[in-house]
Amino acid sequence: MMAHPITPGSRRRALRAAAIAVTLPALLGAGVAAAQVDAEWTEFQGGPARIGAVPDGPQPGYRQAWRTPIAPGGPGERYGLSAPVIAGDVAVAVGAEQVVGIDIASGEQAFSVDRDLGPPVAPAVASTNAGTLIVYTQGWGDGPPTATPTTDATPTTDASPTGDPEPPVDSHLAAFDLGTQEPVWPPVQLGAVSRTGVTIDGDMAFVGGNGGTVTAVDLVEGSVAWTQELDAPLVTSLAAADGQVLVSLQGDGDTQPVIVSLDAASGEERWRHEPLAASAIVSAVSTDGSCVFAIFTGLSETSVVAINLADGSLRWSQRLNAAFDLVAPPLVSSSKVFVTDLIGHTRALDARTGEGLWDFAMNATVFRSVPAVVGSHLLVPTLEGELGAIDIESGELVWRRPPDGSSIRALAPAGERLVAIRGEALSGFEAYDHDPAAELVREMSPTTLALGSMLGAMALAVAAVLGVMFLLGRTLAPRFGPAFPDDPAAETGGPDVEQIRDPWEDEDPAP
Amino acid sequence: MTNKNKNKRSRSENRVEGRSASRSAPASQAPRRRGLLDSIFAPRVAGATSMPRIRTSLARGAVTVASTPILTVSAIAIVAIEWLGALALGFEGPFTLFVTALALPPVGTSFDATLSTALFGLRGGFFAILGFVALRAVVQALLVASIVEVLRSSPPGRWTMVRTLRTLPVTLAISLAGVGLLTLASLLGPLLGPAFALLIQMGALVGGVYLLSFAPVIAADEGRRIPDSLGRSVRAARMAGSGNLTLAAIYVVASIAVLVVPGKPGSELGVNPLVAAWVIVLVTNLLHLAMQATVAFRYLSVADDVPEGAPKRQPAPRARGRR
Repeated sequence: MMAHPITPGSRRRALRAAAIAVTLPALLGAGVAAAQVDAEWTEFQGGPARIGAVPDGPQPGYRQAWRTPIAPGGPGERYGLSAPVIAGDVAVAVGAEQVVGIDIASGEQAFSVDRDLGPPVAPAVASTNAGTLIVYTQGWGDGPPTATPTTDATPTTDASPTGDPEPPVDSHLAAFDLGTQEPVWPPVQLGAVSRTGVTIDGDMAFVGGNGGTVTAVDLVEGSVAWTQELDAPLVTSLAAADGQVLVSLQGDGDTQPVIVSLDAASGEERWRHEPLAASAIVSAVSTDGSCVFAIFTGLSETSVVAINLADGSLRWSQRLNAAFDLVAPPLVSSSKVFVTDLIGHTRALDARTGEGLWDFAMNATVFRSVPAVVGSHLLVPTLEGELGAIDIESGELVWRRPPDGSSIRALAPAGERLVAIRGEALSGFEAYDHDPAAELVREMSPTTLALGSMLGAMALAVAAVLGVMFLLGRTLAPRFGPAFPDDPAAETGGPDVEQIRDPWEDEDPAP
Repeated sequence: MTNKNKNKRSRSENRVEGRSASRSAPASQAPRRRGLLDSIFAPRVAGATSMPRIRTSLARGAVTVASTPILTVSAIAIVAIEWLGALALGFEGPFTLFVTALALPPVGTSFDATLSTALFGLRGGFFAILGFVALRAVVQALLVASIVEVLRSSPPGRWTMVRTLRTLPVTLAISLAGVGLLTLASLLGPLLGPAFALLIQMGALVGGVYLLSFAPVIAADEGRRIPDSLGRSVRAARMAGSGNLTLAAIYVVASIAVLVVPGKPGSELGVNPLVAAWVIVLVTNLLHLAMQATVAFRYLSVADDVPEGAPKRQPAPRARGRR
């Protein structure tokens, strides 16, 4: 692993960020500071609870403050950046072969740290006595189909105490100091390639392997605290709260997807929740400290569920007729749960009862784009590069940025600035500020019936169509004449009642 | 039986006898017994057909609808009522789905399936589709009966209701057959691979329109029962040189093309369609009605040439002396 100081300016900014980050724990007291700070965005969807919401931030509308292109990397240069996290005044995201830090104020690159080729999944920021750490996963096992397997020359800590005779998989948890970009401990060997990103709760980091192994790593020592084999596909982020680690396990042909709670200290299973209806997949989970929220999708139905964090029992289930991206956990803010489906249709549900409060249809693809709540607005980024801001109380759209063809993958509020990760042609970082000159609107969802205008449009269309049909009929009918001129009915002009026969009259005579 | 009814019956029998005579003349040998799927697998009827050309048929169908205000108004009213009903049930769009509201089964059946799934999910929709299919059967029976009246140069009236009631079992059977066809296609598609899935789906739709579309017309015009109507529909469809398969393929491809073309008004979620979206949906449904009239015209043109099916298999005589 090697650090790349880019410019003297970026180095200064990085050091400034590091200085702030290093002094923060000292101010908070000895030991490991709590990594999750609601007002900051230190992990995927904010913090270990994955609620995807911050109480304050820039209000819509927005204008672009800066843009820093980062070319996609990895095999075929197909892999863009992960969701961003905020470490002081640096925004950090993971690329296929690097961890990139961007100064939030200027948009200049603060650092770039090499990593083994691996899935670009969100890192996490941990504040320890040793400083502020950027914790991330690396390694792709046998690699993506076109990749050459990589080897890691650095010494590692084996996660398997039993001594597996097979060579270890190229998959590790690594960490570096934000200020120096130097590793704080050797990469920790994981049992399988990880796509979950990193979840930090207290002084522990939790990661999941593709095969269902959850590994807890002591952030101070860089050693494995425990591992738990759950033997099911695990591809979505973990959540942590109240001394529990919450894991979404996907189903296969024979098993249901489940949500499992593990004890954060020991890794022991506390409870598991299976859906009532047959399901195929389950989304990443989020929690408000009382309930766990997730979306179960099956062939017959899709349901948003709220599960008691204490015992895994079902509190409520709300059926939705929609398809969802499983990487995006439900958002939680102001006693509401927000879910956005693949066609950009957001529903707000009462967090206590599951009752639908409002909905808004963006009518844009929301896939691999994760919404976020900033202050009193739900921000919905789309695959086409749109960004909509919906008032979370009224459900009305207040601002919308037009599409530009490149996706907005994820958002991270950082003070009065909003950091976004872009994909495709505009791959890289972008930042937005509040634009006081932006024109705000109050647009209700197209799924809300406006009876008068709907009936008016219908009446206009009916009148137009009837008029055209009347003219066509008047013009064409005389030219064509009757369909069957020699038909007796046509000659008499009356109904040919004889053609209507009682079906039973034609029955063959009984033998 | 009154004298009036006796006269009707007498004239009706004369006509049926006349038809039978002309049809049975070439076949001097005793007809074979009817078997399972006999109509589909029987050899085609040789010789030229008097089936009108496709272009002529389509023109006649369009003129029939355009020149009959009650048909036009009925079609528009049905679409509007269905839309309002769907809204009442919680439908949130897209409105463009309704371009196939009056489509011939099984194309129209796919609309029923999509709508019921959108409203009630896959599980609930599985049962709800039966209700939608029943509604489609009623609507189609009414429209076919009206079209037959118009083509027979009789204004729709009280006899239309009689024809509707006699057509209803057949339209219900066809809609159910459409559900079966679509289900079968959706089950077979994944088994044979994604490349074949679309082909099978399209094949099922074309096959359904090709073989079954004449049946309601037969029931409305001749008052035949379900098996007779279906069998006769298949035989009429398979008449050599009729171009029915081509017409069915054109119809299905055009219907799906209109349904899936991107960017047209009303193709997004929403319950307040614009005027343009309404115009597209209404015009498309009038074209579906014109297609129904086309099919009716084509059948009525060749009704006398369609061979009768083989006689029913007679039940074996019961063994006597059984206690």
